[in-house]
Amino acid sequence: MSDPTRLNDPGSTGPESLRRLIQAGRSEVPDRERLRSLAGRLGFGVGSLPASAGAAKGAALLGSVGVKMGAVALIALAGAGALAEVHAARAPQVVVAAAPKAQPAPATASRLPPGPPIEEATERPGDVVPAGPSAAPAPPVAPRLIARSSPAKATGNELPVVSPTMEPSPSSPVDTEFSLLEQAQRTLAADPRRSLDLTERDARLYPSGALAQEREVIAIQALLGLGRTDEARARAARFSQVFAGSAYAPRIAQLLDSSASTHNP
Amino acid sequence: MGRFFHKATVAGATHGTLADGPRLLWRGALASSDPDRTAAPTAAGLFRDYGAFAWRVLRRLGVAERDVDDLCQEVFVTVHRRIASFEQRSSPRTWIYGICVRTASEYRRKVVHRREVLAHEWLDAQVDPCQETEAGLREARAVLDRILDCLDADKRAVFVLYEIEEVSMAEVAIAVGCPLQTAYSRLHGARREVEAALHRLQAARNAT
Repeated sequence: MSDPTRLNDPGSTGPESLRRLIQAGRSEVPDRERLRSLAGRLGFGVGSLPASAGAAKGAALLGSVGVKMGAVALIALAGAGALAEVHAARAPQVVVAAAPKAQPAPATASRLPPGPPIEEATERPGDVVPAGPSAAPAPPVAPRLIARSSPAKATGNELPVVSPTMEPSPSSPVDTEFSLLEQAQRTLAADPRRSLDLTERDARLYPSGALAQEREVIAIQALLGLGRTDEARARAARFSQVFAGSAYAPRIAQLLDSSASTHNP
Repeated sequence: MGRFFHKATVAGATHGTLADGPRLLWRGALASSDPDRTAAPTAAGLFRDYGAFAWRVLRRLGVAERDVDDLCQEVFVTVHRRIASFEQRSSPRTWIYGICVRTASEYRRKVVHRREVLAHEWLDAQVDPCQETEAGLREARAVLDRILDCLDADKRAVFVLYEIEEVSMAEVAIAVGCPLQTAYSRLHGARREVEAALHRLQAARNAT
């Protein structure tokens, strides 16, 4: 079955007034400042913006264009903490550094002030782009905006609390919750000890962080990598208690099973 | 926020529906540490390519101007959370549209009382929506949105994606999660209702 003629198509027999309404609807796209603000709220870097406002409009009207994909950091800051993703591709990296959580949140609503001007400069490998106010800790955000899993309650099943042997350094732009875990993930295969250290550092800096579950998965993997199977199993057991129903549960079970079959072929 | 996660395929395993609502499925924690497995689209890249689309489709799906940025943010947080499970069986645009549809649907349910208030504004449309000025365009969009408000969420989504976003019907069906034939049926129903609403609006305007 072929698609019917669209009302906006020249051959349409629909009302002309409706066609013009549809065209008006198609003509509405966010301007560059709005996209920039949105990108800032999401913690996206400069690469997440079209090259120009015209490009944004063109993309919305005509379709997307292929753009080279660099490695990107995403830090979606919400009331409970940060969500983040960095693609560990070998492409150049632009890391959007989140401001420290200790900063007071703006008193105003969920719309954060725009960040510093985002230059349309070429991104260089390893660049760190201070996210500035736009990536500062989010003001209270309506729960509907970014729903989060509830932080672990003090039930006696808390996940490991690490002694503060390393002082938090919130001024360091790389010590975002995400960046710590991203490093932990990257070093997991080659240096599980280092990976475990990083998860411990993350646990100390962000005990109720938004990525607590991710931290635990990495830590369990690291423990398995170090041959500390019993500790990994104990940690997995605590995980299943604290984060009942987690989407990571099958992954953890798989990790433990793989470890068991490796050690007990 | 939407409780509309379906299945997340992770490292070869398939998870069931997430009963505890949205949950970040972080690629790094889910996937192996093999860096080659990170070559999939990024949330930031999808925002760059489709952010404006998403913003616009949210507007046409009934998200108020004052709320659209928040909803667009919500969409891309969802994109980020679910990107690990995006299997690219549809285009990214279709996938994101699907998220927009569900996000907007939930939003509309929450603000139904406000929409009832807005319905009283129906007869207030006095400006010729065919004006070519920016003000005319704004008014035309307002009229379009009032007309679209007459549709139920299912028909509205199909109409918006097909007629305004010009997505193929096959992709529309994927985005809204219904059989293709159902999508056609919704489109035809939506067209009838839209034209009827337009006639009512024009009649009301002519009568004043």
